[in-house]
Amino acid sequence: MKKILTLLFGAMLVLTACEYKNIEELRPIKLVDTCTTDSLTFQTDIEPIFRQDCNNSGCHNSGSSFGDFTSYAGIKAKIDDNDKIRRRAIIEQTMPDAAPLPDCEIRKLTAWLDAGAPNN
Amino acid sequence: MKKVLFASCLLAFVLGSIAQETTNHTAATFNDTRIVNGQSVETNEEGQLKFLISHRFGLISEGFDNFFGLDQATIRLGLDYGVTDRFTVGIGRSSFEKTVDGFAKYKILRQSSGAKNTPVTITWQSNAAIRTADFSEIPGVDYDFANRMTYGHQVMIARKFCDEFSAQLMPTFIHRNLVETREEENDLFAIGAATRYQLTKTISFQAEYYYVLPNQMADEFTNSLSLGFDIQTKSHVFQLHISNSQGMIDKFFISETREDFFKGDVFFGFNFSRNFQLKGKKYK
Repeated sequence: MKKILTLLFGAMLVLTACEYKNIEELRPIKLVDTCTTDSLTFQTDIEPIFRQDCNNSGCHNSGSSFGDFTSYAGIKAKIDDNDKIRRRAIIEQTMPDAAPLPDCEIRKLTAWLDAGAPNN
Repeated sequence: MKKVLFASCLLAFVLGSIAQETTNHTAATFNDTRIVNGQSVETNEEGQLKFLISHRFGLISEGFDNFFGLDQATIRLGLDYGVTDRFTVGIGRSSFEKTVDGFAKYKILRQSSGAKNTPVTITWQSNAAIRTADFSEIPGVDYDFANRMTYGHQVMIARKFCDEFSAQLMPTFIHRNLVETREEENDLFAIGAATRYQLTKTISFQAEYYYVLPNQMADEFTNSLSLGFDIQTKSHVFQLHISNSQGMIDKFFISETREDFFKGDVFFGFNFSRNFQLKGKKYK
């Protein structure tokens, strides 16, 4: 009796499978994707990203030597300089300094850059 | 009162040191094998079957509408059996998530005085739990059997300082095969502390707290704190308590406690146990 009980509980504790999973990763698709990347315009979709995440004082503000992102011209100049915006914000995700852009903003920026960065 | 208590503690310690010829193992560090939600160092006697009924009601803060939580209850029914005086196995079933759990518990070291002097009692406990309730359906998500499993291991180190007072520390490890979010760790480390203070011959006060080490749980979860009283009769122990945890097995109260004890979000609950002697002397 003792042996059977010991074996039973030993087996239960030792032979069971250990997994490391979470429900977020089990979910294969984003169920509600509210991020739209169709028919973007610079004025309504892209400029707010720069205004919110890049143009702060001491960063890419007016007259900054790192590049002035307060105007389309300043942004375009950085894009023309070896596609630096795509490299830092999308590929390397080292800009903004504090934390990478949110997923949806990265996707919007990518779509806009892919479309040739129009000033619309 | 404090002086008397201190003197009696000291006397017990001194007398214990003087009586050198035989080894006296300390009995009843805690009155039962459970403190409130968690286990104590105590194990069943050989051949003893313990039937445990545990209830946790709803939040007391819900007020009169829900009769201070008594309208809703979760329950765990358990059977623990003492294979030897130091080795106990048990199974149980909780209504919460329809969870079935099993554990094995071994008393590695017994506190003793006399010829052999051991300062503490150490008990090891391992457990596993299976959620049998269905998961909430999420389109595209397939769950497998292993997702339902949780495991736990715990070392309990306790000392009975004198007849009135015992304390216990319990480093605990819990592994959950499935958690909700990426932020939560599947492996979780916690340390528990518990104490017993004997108020009268049959009534004692218990406190139990589990501190989960930081950055392992989602923000909504918190540490478990429970306070309660044990009332002993010859073959029963009644435990009445309040706790901010509603679950009664390790994975529920250590890793899934949501309520804030100090905001008054507590559950009233009780454990009730009845012992049956299946082997050896029936009445001692």
